[in-house]
Amino acid sequence: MDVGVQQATLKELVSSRLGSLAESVDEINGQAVAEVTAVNLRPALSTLKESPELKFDYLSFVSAVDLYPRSPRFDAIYNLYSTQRHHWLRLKVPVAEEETLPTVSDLYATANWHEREVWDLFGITFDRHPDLRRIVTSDHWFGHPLRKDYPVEGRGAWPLGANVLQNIAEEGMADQADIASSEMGPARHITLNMGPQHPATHGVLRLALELDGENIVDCIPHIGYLHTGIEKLSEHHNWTQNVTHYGRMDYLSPMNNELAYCLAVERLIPDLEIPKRAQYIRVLMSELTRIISHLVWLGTHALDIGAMSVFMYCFAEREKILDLYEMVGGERMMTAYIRIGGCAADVPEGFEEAVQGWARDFQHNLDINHNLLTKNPIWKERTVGIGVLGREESINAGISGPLARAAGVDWDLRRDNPYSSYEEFDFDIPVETAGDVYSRYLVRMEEMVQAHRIVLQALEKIRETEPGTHVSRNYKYVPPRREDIDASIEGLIHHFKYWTEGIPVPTGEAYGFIEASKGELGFYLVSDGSARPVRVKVRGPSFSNLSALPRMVQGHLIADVVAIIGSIDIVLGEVDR
Amino acid sequence: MSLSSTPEPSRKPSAAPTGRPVSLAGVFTASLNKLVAWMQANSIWPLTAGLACCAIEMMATSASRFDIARFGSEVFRASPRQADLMIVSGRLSWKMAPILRELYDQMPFPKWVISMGACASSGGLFRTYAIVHGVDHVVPVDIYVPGCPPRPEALLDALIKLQKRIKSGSYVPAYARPPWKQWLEAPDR
Repeated sequence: MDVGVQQATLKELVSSRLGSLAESVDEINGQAVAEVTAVNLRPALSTLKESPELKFDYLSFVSAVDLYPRSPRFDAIYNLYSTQRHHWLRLKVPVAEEETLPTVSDLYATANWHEREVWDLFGITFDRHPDLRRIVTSDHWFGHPLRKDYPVEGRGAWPLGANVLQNIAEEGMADQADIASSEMGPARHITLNMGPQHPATHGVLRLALELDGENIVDCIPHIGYLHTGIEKLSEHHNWTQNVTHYGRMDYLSPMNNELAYCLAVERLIPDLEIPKRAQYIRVLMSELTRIISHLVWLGTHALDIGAMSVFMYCFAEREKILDLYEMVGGERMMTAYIRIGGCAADVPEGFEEAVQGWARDFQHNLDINHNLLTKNPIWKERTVGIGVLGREESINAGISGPLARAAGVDWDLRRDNPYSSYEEFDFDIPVETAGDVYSRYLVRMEEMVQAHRIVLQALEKIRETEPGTHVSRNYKYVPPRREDIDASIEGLIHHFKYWTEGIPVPTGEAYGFIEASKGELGFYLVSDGSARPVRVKVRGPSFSNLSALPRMVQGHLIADVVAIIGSIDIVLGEVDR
Repeated sequence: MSLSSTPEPSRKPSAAPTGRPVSLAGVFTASLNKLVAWMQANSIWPLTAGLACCAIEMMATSASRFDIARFGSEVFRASPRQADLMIVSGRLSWKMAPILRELYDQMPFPKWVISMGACASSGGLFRTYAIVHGVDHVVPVDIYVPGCPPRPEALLDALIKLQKRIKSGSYVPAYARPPWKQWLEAPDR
């Protein structure tokens, strides 16, 4: 597939459709980028969405970059995708500090949460936004953390020491008062707080539920209880160190995060060739990761609905894959195995046999769960027809991954925009049309089978490549080999400089994306040519998927909320970052 | 036989049926302490308060391979009112801190806290504006477990260490030691 030609025609198409609405249309690192002014933003988005050749129906994320001391200070970023034509476009809108932007949450429902996040972290106001509150920091937070003048360790708004308990007690009380006053509906409705400490919210999600009897009238998710400031921290660590953070973001699929970040960085470095062996190892590991992520989803989802033994079977199976993780990366979960330029090490001796040993029993072990659940009348009673989200609605809400495929969106980045040599693999993409909890279950179960297929193919392909080519030979961007460090002073100096100074990544910007276990996981990076990024925006699939929760739960019972949350498969580490 | 004719039972302890002297009751009290400590140590019920990555390892600890039930702690309680042990598993954000403290306050005495992993113990990797750099700023911690995330074996080791301390009978929990003791006994609390 010739990406260059396709991008060139896309660029021409976009500039002809937008006409005078766009200030400029460029191609940066193989991706189309259009610059528009704040006044033209809404007309431009409507045009791009409606135009039959472009059909940008899916808003991947809204974010911003603080380019202080440039004037205007910020660039707002709108990343668009077409689920029919499978092409990407980034809109850039320069915004000064005192300026506002029009909201686009009526065009794309997903923009609602994304704009709130931009307001929270950058302080850019969106006119006519329906609910412009802070989202990841607490309501009483001071300042906007992702601005360049905000220190990474905070402003000391929370002094550690004698007053800390007093402070947090007041904060907790203020939060309670908020639920009681602002979220209460009509008098006969009651407001129920669910979480952030609740066994079925999969972490620290808090829901304020408005109930009529046991029926849910409204649901307001509160997130940010695991807000870590990973994006801020990434601006203060260098490109190579940053790989370490992202495994801890979506901690159910650590290697997927590393892969998405490394692909984004590699897009910024045009002369970095990734050897085939490294690409196949990456495919193998990311498919194993998909399986462990889905196993945790299945185990906890079934546990929430009341099937205890499934949890035990899933975790027993997961342990076997964690052993494989340990073989290649040395740790059970946070391996930081996938690095810029390839992988940290070659696969060890005996790895192939270990994977085959696991693969032999996998189908059988998955069938145990199938037999327990798929035709189980209780399971079907709890899942069929619950939490339905239609096709158009889910695209508009920015939903990706198994959730979208369960609603009939036939879209998988591995097939439609292949990365890391996925085009060489043979696999099917399960699509269901009902869009309920049960079809999400079926999609994920089938995805595990397909992932298993890909793993076996990848193993074949790894065998055909030359051992030791697990990382690029472009030593400007990868650490020197052990032999070189031992044999020459240049090698030693290189090693020292590589790990202390980091690598100079060329100036530019890029968006790297993968089909993670939960959907479209992307990293938008901005580099100024130094060893540290200017901006790392993480587009986590769970964030957008979770934002559609209120539409899914309305009209259902409280017990169904548990099933629906389980079916979205959220990881709060990725939602809050 | 009327009720009034029965003599008032003496408040003084009489000799035991076996004829042994009553003073042995003192010995019995001492072994009750031991009995209670033994029972407490072997049925530590943890609170289901998973925060981040470490929570997944905590779940793995409770699943079949590592089987925390061998040590009597498989009963993860969703309600703090029924829990003895808080395993702070993962990074604690400032937004979550008041809730964690409230959960701790709702747990009945005696209660213990394990700080699981680097983030919970010191903020770990994440020295940012959003994270509490060590949960011991918020709750009294009895045992710190290193690792990012700690292996299930490490968590089990922490549990066994806690059991040994409780069984020893002389262990003073972290909340009853300075600086938490003063805070607990402060008049304006």
